[in-house]
Amino acid sequence: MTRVEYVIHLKEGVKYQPHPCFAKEADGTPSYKGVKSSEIAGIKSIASFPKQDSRIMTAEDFKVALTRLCDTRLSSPIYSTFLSFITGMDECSEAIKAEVARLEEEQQKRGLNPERYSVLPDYRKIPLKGIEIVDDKTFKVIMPRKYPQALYWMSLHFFSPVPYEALEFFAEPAIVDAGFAFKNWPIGTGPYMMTDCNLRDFLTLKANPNFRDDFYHWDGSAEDKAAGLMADEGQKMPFIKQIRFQFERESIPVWIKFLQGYYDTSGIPSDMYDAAVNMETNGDMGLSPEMAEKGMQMISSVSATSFYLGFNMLDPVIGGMDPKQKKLRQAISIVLDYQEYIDIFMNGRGVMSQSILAPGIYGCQEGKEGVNPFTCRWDEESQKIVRLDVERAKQLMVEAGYPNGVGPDGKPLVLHYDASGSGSQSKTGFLWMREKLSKLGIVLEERLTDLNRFRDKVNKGDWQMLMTGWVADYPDPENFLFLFASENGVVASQGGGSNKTNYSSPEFDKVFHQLESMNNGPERMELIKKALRIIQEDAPCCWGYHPKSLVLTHGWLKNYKPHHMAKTFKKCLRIDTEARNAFRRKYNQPILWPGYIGILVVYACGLLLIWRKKD
Amino acid sequence: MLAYIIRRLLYVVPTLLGVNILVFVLFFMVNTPDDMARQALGEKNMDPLQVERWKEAHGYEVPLFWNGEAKGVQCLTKTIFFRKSLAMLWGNFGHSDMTQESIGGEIRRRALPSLCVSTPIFLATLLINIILAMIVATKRGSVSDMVTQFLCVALMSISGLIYIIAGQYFFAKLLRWTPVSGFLQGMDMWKFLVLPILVGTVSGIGGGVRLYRTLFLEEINRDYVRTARAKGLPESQILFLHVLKNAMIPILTNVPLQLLTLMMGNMLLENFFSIPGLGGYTITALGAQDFAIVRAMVFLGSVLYIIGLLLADICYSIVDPRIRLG
Repeated sequence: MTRVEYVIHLKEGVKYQPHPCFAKEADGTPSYKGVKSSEIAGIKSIASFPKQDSRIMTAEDFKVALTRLCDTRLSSPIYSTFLSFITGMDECSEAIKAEVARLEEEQQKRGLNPERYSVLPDYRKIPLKGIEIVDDKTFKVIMPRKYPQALYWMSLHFFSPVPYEALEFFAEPAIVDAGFAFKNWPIGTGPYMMTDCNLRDFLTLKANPNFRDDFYHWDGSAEDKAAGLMADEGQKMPFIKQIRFQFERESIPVWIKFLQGYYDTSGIPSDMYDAAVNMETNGDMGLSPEMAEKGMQMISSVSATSFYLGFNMLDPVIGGMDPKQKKLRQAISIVLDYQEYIDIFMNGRGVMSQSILAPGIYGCQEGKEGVNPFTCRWDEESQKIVRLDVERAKQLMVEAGYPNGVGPDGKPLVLHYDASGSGSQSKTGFLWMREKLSKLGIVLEERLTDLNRFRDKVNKGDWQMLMTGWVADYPDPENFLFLFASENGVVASQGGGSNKTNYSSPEFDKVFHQLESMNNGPERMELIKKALRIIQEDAPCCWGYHPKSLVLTHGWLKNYKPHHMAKTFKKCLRIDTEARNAFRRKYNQPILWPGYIGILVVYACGLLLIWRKKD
Repeated sequence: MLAYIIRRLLYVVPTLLGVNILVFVLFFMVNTPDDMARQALGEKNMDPLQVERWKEAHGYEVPLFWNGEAKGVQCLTKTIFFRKSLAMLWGNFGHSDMTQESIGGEIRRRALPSLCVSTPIFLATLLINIILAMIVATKRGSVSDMVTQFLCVALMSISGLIYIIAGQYFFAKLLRWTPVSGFLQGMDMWKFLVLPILVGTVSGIGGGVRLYRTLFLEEINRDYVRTARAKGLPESQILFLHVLKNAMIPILTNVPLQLLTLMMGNMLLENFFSIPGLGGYTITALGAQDFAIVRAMVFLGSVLYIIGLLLADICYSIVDPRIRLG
């Protein structure tokens, strides 16, 4: 298959937020074309420009957005990914480069410094083979291969439409001089628009008056219904008129403000964990009575993230695909009981991994089905997954050629743990690991370096064991399994891939390439299981844990259910402002009596001094 | 005097150039542009193409000191040293590596909040330190002197962080007298400044009282004080008119050196109280490894320190006429 087309039809009548870039004079020229600095002096927000207008979103805006990503000056983090599945991105990039050089030369002749005032190529006219505009409401995305995950990528903000008028507006020298930039002042058709942008202090979003008709709908469970998540069914969104994001640098002030009712949600700082969380007898976490009394709720969810201890498969001792080497890695994986790690170091905020797939990702089996038989077993009594016995690990060590951790040369096996952090958490984590490995007679040594040297070591494959992780970009198993594809090996791809362990297995590659472009279904599920079993047996990693996030919310915040992939749920949130104001009044009355006592004490001391002086 | 000032100003130029080169070497030799790109891009975008694009987008694609591929003067100007470091000498601090915002603009915007916090702290601390030091100096060896000294040592021994956390806990959380943190422009600003100023002032008392007490003790034992007492002048007149005037010479000459702290703000205070000043700006940049900002702030700090030293020398010659500067 050499050409795959996605035909995208736009909804009718979707309008942009009000924006000065759309404002036009009677003769049709943009109101702010050639604007002078004196005319916009004192304007601090895009929302404060006196002339504003809007227009309907068109297919061309998507062409502009995608073409713009090819501009090397943007250094878009998504470019390499899009390059791999959208036709003609590299050619377009070269064309833009040439056009930019030409425009810069022209601009210099006009006496404008291109470093200060970036030139703007006409992205509408620069050809990009990967996108074809059919009409105002339809466009095609053209790919050289089948890639179903493209839909996930296209739903990310990188693919948002960009009206060319906005780019022209932000390229005006006076607008640049006033400190406005397109990347800080996004324009869109969504439920909110930015009205304050102070990147290091706060951001304010206001409801977009042009937002299309979008009604609250939730296909939730009975649990969701009981939690009141369906109460607003059929109501027009967004509910909140203004959202302010405050940038806080320290966790304790955030926590106090949350308790005072000035923040609607909060995480739990580690120092405050005992005050906020009650451990139930069955090991589950619950909200402390003091918090529950104030109407707060605790929402926990497992994030689509995997942390694991990687083994360098290029290392002659710990790496390699020889059965003996596999057994050594399996033995290590058995003794590193990550449930214990979660309990000790994370206050139970995590789920022990059985494979690279995080819970909730298609193909991730939970419970008895999901057990990694090479390191764990299902315990019928506790109905939980537990680690295999240490005896099994010791037996594997014998089979690997290291009885009691002693190698063929009669010396104890010494392994190295490479890390870049030197904080107390990483140190205690290392000590825990060393203690666990000592059960097998293995001596674990730490090799600490700064982040840059550490990355160099990873790129050169000059390491043995390291802790690493992966946060899902989209909810598809391909986004985790590709971490073990041979072509993504960090050393093989000279730093271009994400397969840090440099694992390479033709068997795994074959299964992976079969499943990566498949749609979900029984056939794909079988292939995923097969791929997972291969890497569980080869053990290029000791599967660590999937972190669990705990969020506290006040009772007045409605419709809150965290989602680790989508960030668009703000429009669903509702706030009971009366309840919030009542809470703030109740819990923020100043306690004045200590102040009065203080004044009395000072007054008494003064009197005493006067009396002593008179005496 | 004028000749002296001109000469000192001329000394400033090579000093600043030296500082500029040193800052550049420290930042770019230890942390290459490739390292910076990888840090900024994160784990997921480490491929060489992305690194090259990041460098190009941020102006780090050219050589460090000498561009062999360029022609004429561009061999020098088309380099990272010229673009990113030397430009700071004429006030061009460039742009943040992370957000691309103008660093110069941010410095101008944040200087006022920093001054709003650090100036009252500086003045209140100076006043309290002088008064307390003068009181205990006159009561040398008494119980109140020893108690004050003990308290001063205790105040000095406690970390600044403890004052902040304790202040926020007692005054904001328990007593609810002030907001925990935050900042507002305009008339409501004082509500947010009371607590950080109180905390900053209390944490600065211990060391200052001990230093000034020593200065006052030196003066109190001088002949002119004994003469004044023998003439029957009241103690308050001796202290405030004669002792204070002479002891103020070393105090006043130290004041210009505080210019750095006044302008650059207090990193911890600003960070914990969410004050949008230069201290918080620097610490956030450090946390985010935004080296363009850190570099600019290090250089700005050096400039302010050099200016402070220059002012201190000038003040010294003004307040003490015995000093002749050649």
